[in-house]
Amino acid sequence: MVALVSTVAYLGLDARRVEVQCQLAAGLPAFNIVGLADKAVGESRERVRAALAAMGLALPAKRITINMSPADLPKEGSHFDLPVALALLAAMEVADAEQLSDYVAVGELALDGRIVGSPGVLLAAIHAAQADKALICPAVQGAEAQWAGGASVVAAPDLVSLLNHLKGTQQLPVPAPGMVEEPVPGPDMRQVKGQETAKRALEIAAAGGHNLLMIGPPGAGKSLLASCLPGILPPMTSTEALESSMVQSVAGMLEDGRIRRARPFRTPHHSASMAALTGGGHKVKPGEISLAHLGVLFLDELPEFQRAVLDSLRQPLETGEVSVARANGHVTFPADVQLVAAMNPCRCGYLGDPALACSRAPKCAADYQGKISGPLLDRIDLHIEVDAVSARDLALPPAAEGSAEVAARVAAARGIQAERLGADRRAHQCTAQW
Amino acid sequence: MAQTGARTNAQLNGEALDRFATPDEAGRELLFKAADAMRLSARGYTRILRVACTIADLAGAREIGRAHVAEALSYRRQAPRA
Repeated sequence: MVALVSTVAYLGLDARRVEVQCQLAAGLPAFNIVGLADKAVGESRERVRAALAAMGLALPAKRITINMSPADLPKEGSHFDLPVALALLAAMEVADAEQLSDYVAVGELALDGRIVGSPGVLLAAIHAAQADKALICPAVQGAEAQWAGGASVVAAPDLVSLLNHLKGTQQLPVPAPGMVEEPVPGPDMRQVKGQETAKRALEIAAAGGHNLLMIGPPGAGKSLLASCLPGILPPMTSTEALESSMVQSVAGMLEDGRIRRARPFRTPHHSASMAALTGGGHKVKPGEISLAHLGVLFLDELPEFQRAVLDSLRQPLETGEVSVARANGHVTFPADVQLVAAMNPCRCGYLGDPALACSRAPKCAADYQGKISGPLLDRIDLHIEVDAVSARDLALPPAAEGSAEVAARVAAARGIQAERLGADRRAHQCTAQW
Repeated sequence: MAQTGARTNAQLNGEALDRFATPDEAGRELLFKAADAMRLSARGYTRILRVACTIADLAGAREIGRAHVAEALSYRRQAPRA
C-alpha cells in the first residue's frame, strides 16, 4: 500500500504543499528517498531509522520507497524527517493513514525519537490554516505555530507521544501562543549633544520612512544617532509583526515563538558578502535586507562595503523586495527597508578640518566617496553632514527633548499618512466595487 | 494580506504621489528652479517631493509650502568632484 502525508517546502516566504508518499514493496530490503531531495533530506533516512529503533520498531524487511511530490520541486531542510517517519509508520500500519490526511507535518527527528525544532514552522502553520488542515509541529515551536491563528496545532515533544495522541490514548496540551517581546530600550536622543540638524533629519527619516546618509568625521556621533532610530519609530502593527516574523521564522531566528513589535534594526558588518546582504547561498536564506523588512538596515562605514555588494541593494531599495535567482529556481523575499548609512568624508576622516586632515585632501575625499555609485546615492533621500562636536557642546546639560517626545511627533505624522493613504485605498476599493 | 499600496510617504508612487505630494504655487516654483540648478534626476525629483510631504506632515500643514520644499532640498547633496 501507499501511505500519504502532507508537508511543505519553503520557497522564499511561500510554503508549497508537498506530499510524502511511502510504498512498501516486495524485493531486496532497501530504503530510498526520491523527489529532488537535498543532502539534509537524504540524511533523514538515518534519523528516521534510529527514531523508529528508539521506539522499539525495526524497519520492515522490504523495499521502502519514499517519494516527495511534486518531484520537480527542490526540497531543502531537515523538517521532512517527521512526515517521512509518519508516512513510513502509516505504511507499516502503526499509524492510521486516513487520520494523517487531515494534517500537515513538519519537524526534525533526533536519534532518540524526540521531535526537535526546524526553521519555517510559522509559514507551515499559515499554509495549514489556508488548506483547512491541522498542523503537527515540534513542541518547542508550538507557540510560534499558534501565531498563525486558524490552524489547530499538535505540538509533540517526541514520536511516541505523537502516536499516542493520534490514537487517543494520550492528550498533548494545546500550546499557548508565544509572548510579545518587550522592546529593549536603546540609547535615548537625549544623549546626543548638539547635532540639531542631524536630529531633525533623523526625525524626518523616521516620520516618512526615508533613506538617510550621514557623513562626518570619526567620533561625531553618527552611529549613536543611528542607534537612536529604533527608539523613535512607531511599533509595528499586528499584520506587520506577523510578516516580519515570517522572515525570522524562515531564517530560524524566532526564539520560543516570541514575536517582536519593535521594528527590526540590522547592522551588518562591512565585510558582508552579497549573499549575506541580499539573501541566497546554496540553501536560499533571507539576507540582512530581508531580515530588516519593515525596519531599518544600518550600513556603517558605507564605502568600506564591496562595491558590487552595495550596488546589489539598488533594485531591492526601489521595489521593496529582493529576488534571488538560482539554478534551481527564483526565490523572492520581501525587503521593504529604510536604509540608514554612515560614512567618513575621506579615508583619514577629517576632510574640512585643516588641523587634522591629511595632506591628500581634497583629492582623497573624491576617491573615497566615489566608491559609492551615483545610482545608490540617488536612492537616498536625505544626505546630512554630521560635524564634530566640541568639548563645550559635550559639557552642556542633556537636551530637553528625548526620544519619547520625538516618537510622539513621528507617530502623529505617520498617523496622518496612514489616514490619507487608507482613505485613498478605501476610495479605490469603492470604485472597484462599482 | 492587505500589503498592497504604500504605508509611508517614502513609498508614495504614481497617482498617489501626484495627488498628495503636490506643493503649492510658491513651492512648485522653487522646486522647478532647484531641479534645473541641481540637475535632479526624475527619481531625485520625486524623492524631494516625498521628503517635502513628510516635512509638511510633521509640521501638521495641509499643503506642502515653499519652506517645506526648501528644507527637503537642503538635504540633497552632491558628491564632491575632484
